[in-house]
Amino acid sequence: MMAGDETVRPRVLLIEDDEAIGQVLMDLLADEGFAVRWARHGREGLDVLARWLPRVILLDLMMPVMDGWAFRAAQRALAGPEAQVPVVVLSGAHEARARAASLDAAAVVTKPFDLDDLLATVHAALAVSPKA
Amino acid sequence: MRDAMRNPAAADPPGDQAAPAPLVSLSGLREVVEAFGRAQALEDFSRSALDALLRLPGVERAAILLRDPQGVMRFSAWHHLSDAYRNATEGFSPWAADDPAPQPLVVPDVDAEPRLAAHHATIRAEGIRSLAFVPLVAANELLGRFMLYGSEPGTFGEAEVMLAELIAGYMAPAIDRARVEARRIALLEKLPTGVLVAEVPSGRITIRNEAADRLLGASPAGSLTAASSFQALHPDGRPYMPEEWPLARASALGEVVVDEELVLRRADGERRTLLVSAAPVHDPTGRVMAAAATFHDVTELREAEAQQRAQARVLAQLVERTARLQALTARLSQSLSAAEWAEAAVREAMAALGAARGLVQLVSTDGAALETIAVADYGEEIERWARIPLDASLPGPDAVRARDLVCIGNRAELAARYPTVAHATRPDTQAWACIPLVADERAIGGMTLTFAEPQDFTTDDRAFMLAVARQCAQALVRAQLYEDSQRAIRARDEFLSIASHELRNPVAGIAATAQLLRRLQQRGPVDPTRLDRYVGLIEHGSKRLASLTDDLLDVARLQRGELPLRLQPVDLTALVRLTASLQDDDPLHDVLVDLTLEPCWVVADPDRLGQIVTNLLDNARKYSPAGGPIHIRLAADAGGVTLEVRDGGVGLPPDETERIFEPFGRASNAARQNIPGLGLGLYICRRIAEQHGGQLTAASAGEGQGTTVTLWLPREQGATDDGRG
Repeated sequence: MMAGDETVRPRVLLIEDDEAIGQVLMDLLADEGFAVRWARHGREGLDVLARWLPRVILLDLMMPVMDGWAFRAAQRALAGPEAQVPVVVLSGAHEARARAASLDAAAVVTKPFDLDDLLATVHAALAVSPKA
Repeated sequence: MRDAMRNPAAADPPGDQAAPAPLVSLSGLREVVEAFGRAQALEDFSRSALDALLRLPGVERAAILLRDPQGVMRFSAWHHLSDAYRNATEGFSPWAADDPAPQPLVVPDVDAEPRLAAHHATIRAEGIRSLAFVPLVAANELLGRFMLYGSEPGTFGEAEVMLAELIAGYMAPAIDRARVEARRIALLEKLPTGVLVAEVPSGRITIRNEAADRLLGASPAGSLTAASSFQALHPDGRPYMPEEWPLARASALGEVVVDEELVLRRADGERRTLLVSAAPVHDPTGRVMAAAATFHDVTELREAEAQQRAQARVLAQLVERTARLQALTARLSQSLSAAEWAEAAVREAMAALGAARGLVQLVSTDGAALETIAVADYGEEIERWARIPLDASLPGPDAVRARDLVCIGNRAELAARYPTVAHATRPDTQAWACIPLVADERAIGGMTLTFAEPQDFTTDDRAFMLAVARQCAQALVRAQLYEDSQRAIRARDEFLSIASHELRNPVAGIAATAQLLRRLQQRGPVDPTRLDRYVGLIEHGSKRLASLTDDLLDVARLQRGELPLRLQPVDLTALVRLTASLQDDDPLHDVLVDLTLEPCWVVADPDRLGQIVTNLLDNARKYSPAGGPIHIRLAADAGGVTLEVRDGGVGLPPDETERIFEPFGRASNAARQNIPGLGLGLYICRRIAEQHGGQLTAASAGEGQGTTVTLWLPREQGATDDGRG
C-alpha cells in the first residue's frame, strides 16, 4: 500500500478515550502500515509527543483529564516541529464541526465514521504534513 | 366783681389760704382748668365742674345733668338738692333734643316762667326762686347742662351765665372725649382680641379686656410678666424670660412686635397658641408713656394648619410610594435575575421608608433556612447572617414563619423581644422591620430593613411595606421561574451535547469494529483471537447502548409516573456483596465493604435496588478516575437502614449536592473534566429510593475531596433481620 512503500512507516498519534474505537483504529492503522501510538487523553498525548514525533494526529475532543481543545492549544504552543503536525479531529460531539472550528484542524471526522473515509482523510493529512 | 361781693362764700376773711380762690380770679380759673386736666373719668369731670360752679358769685346750689344713652337728662352731680326735687325735675329740658345750637336760659323769677309751670310747687318747696340753664354742647351735640339755683329772684346776671358757659366750654369736650373713651373701652372689652395696656415706667396695667382675661386666665396680676397662672413658651419650647415679653419689649425698648407666636401652658395643662403684637405709645415729647399689646388665640387655626400639613405630608408620601411601587411594577417586565430584582426592591423600600440598610433572604430549597440573595449597604458583618435557620427566634424568621410584619421601633423594644440578639446588632441601628415575602399564600422569604433612627411605624408605613413585599415576592417567583426555565434550557443543551457524545461513541465503536471485521474477512480467515476481541468490543458497546437506552426509558417512565415496583424481601447485604463481586476486575479501585448486618432485610424491588447499588458503585469508580479505595458501609437505625458509598474522587462543588439529582444534572467539575455520563443515573436512583419511601442524598467536602452518597430505606413491617431466608 501507499504507506508501506516508505522505508520508515509514517507515524500516527491517536488520542482517544473510547476503548472500542481506540482498539479498532490501532488495528486498522497498523494493518495499513502506520506506526501508531495510542494516548487515552490530551495529557498522555503531550507526553507521547515529547519523545515521539508523529506525521498526523487523530484527536478526539471530549476526553477526561485534558480534552481535545486543551491539547491542541498546548500542541500549537510547543517550540519544535511538534507544533506543525496536522490534526484530524475525530468527534461524536453535538455540532462537532462547529465546535472544532477554532482548532485549525486539517480535517474533522464525525462519529460514527466510515473506515475508508477515515483512511483517506489520514492520507490527505499526511500529504500536507511538513515531512511529506 | 359785683356779683362776687354778693357771694357769701367770698365774705370769708381775706388772707385765709385754705379758701379756694374765687373763680373770678385768674388763679381760680387756672385751678378749674387744672382739675379738668387731672380728671379721667366722667365723674371726675362732673365733680370738678360742680366745684367750679359753686365758686360763682351768688351760687349756693348747682347741679350738672348729663344725657344718658337714651337722651334723657340725668343728675350727674349736685349740691344742696333734695332727692324729691331731683326725682321730680329729672328729665326736664328747656331745649328740644335736636336743637342744633341751644342757648343759655336765665329764669330771674321762677314763678313768672310759664315753661316751669308744671314744676312751680316743687321748685318753691326747694326754696329756689331763680334759675339758669347752661347747655353743654360739643360737636353740635347737646351733652347735658349746668344748673344754677338762686334763693332770690334775679340772682344770676349775664356775667354769671358767661362764666358758667366758660366752664361748660371746658367741660363739654372733655365729657365728649370721656364718652368716646368709654365707648372705646366698652368696644375693647367686647373685642375677641385680648388687649393689655401698661403704663410706663410703672408697668401698671391700665387696660385689660375680657378676651385678655380669658386668654391669660383671669389673673389679677398687675403686670403680665408677673402672672403665674401660666407659663409662656416659644414655639420651640424655650420659656419666655420676663424681659422677652412683647409688652415688656415695647415698654422698655419701644419695640414694635408684630404677630409673635407664643405658647401658653396654663396651670391646668392646657396649651394655647397666641399671636402677640405690641407697640409703644409715645407722649408728645417722644417718650414712651405706655405700651399696648394684643393677643390673638390661634390654637384652633394652628391645629387645623398642622392637620392640613400632616394630611399633605401623608398625601405626598402616598404619591411618592405609589410612584415607587409603579416603578417596581414596571421592572417586573424586565428580565432581571432574582438577585437583581431583590436588590432593586429592597433599595426602593429603603428609599421610601428612609431605611439605612436592607437585605432580602429566600427560604432555602430544603425549607430549613433563610439564605441571603441581595444586600444593600451592609458591610462584611452581614455575612454571618447569610444563612439563618428558619426556626431561629429572630425577627426575620419570625416574620417569615408567621407571614406577618415584625417591626421593632427602638433598641429597648429589641432588648425586650429578642434579648439574646440585642448585643449582636450594629450599634448604629436603632430600628428594624422584617417583612415576609408571600406569593400564592406561601412565604418564600423575607426583606429586612434597618434604620439609623428609632421609628414610629405608622399604619401607612406598614401597608407600604406589605405592598412592596407583595410585588417583590411575585417578581422573585417570576424571576426564579425564569431562571429555572433558563437552567432547564441549559440542561437540555448540555444533555444534547452529552447524549450525542455518550451515544455516538458506542455506536461509532460498534460500527468501526464491524467494518474492520468485514475488511479482514474479505482478505481471508480472521485470526480467532482478534475475532474474539472484536466480538467482545461489539458486545460491550451494545451493553453500553442498552444501559443508556434503559436510563432514558426509565426517565421517560418516571416523568410519566410509571415505574412499577415488584416489592419483596431483599437481603441488602447479599445484594451489595453480589454487585461488588461482579465488578472486581477493576485494578484502580479497592472496594472496602463494612457489612456487619447479616442478613439485612428490606422490602424492595430487587432489580431496582440492584440498579441503585450498581449505579452508586459505578459512580464511585467513574468519579475517582485516579483510583483509590471505595468504602461501602451498611448501618441500621430504629426506622430503617443506611447504605453509604464513599469515594475519594473529584468531589462536588459546595452548592451542587442537589443539582446532581436533577434530570441531566451533572456536577460542573465532572462535566468540565469530560467524565462520561448522561446525568440521569442519580436522578433515576433517587426517584426509585423515594418510591420505596426512602431517601438518596450526597455530601462532599468540596472539589477533589471525594463524595459520599447515602441511601436510606425504611424497614417495612414484616421485613426483619431474622426474617425470611
